[in-house]
Amino acid sequence: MTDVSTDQAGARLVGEYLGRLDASASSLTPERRAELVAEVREHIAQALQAEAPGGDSVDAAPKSVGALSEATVRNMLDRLGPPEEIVRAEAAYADDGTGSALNALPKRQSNFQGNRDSITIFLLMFGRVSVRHRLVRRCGTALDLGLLAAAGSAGRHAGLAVRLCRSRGRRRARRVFAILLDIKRIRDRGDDNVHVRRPAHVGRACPARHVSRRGCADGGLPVAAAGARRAPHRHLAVVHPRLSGTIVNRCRPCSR
Amino acid sequence: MRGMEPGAASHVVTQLRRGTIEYCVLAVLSGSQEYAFELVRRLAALDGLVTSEGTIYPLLARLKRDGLVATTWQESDVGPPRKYYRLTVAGRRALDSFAGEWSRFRDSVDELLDQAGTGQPRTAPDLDASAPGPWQQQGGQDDRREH
Repeated sequence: MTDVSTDQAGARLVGEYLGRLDASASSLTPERRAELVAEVREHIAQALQAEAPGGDSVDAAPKSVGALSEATVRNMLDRLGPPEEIVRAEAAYADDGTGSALNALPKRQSNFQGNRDSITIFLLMFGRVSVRHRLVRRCGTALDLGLLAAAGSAGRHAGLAVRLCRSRGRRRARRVFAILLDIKRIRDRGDDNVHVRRPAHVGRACPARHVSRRGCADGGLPVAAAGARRAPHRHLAVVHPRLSGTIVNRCRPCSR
Repeated sequence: MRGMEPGAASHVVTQLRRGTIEYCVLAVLSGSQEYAFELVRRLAALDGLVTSEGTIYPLLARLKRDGLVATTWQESDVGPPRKYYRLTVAGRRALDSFAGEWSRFRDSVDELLDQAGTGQPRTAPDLDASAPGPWQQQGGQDDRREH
């Protein structure tokens, strides 16, 4: 569990604490329960390491980490708080997001942003087609750009609009539509779970050695902490032809 | 009325702490990415901000679900890989928005407390009992409001 050895009583305290936490967290989803216990276990390990002689810095390699007294362990666990309180906090934060910092974001801007994207995508998909048959054909490009500007998206999507307007069919429009969805997805997820730049270990075994169910940098849990078997895997790099960066949005267990 | 009961001040402070702790987490992450233990330690080092260190982990999970922070795993020289937290664009916006609101709120409350004379004197720490109260010091009002 940890590099730090405590005396017998201290180890018993830690074991009891983690047992209480695991039992209290039975109401959580299995993934979150395992993650929470792993986080707290890691916290305890690092706190004990920091408490140990010569371990005042958690970044330092454990030197003479000897047995820690029961009082030291108990004090550290007191600072951590009762396991039941941690689980209550989990439940409270999981409620409905009331009071969340997310609510501090300007809602109007957020909704407007979403509407703007929808309008843009709609115009890119159908605007050109519809105006082509109703207005003078040569005015189509200018009209598309004008409509995009009216939607407030000209700055961001002007390049794509020009490409679309130069295209002659819906196939091109569908490709642009796919790119827009990618851009929107990346922004909506707050860059989480997506490497925009190519990580150094693409194509090689992942150094983090985590099991990923939901994605690379996001959902992976340390194998040991999750209680799962070690599963070396490789990152799957997806190079988008229209974007300069490389998107790595999958992290699958290696089949070897 | 609950607000007038003895001990209500500590209740208010608890509510304030509960409401602002997530922004404190975002503020810690605004400078650089941190891994969880270091982040908790920095928050716990500030007086009265965190009562139970363990409750930060549920908060971090919530902030991550909301897309305000993101995580990456990084190798560590002294142990297993560590999960580092960093601020997302949405997290930065939320923090900036809160900072403006908090500044206005704090200034308003400080001003009222200063007028009521209940705030700590910010100048002349050796005021004796016979000295006029802050609400009587017309000339020193602006000086006392400086932080």
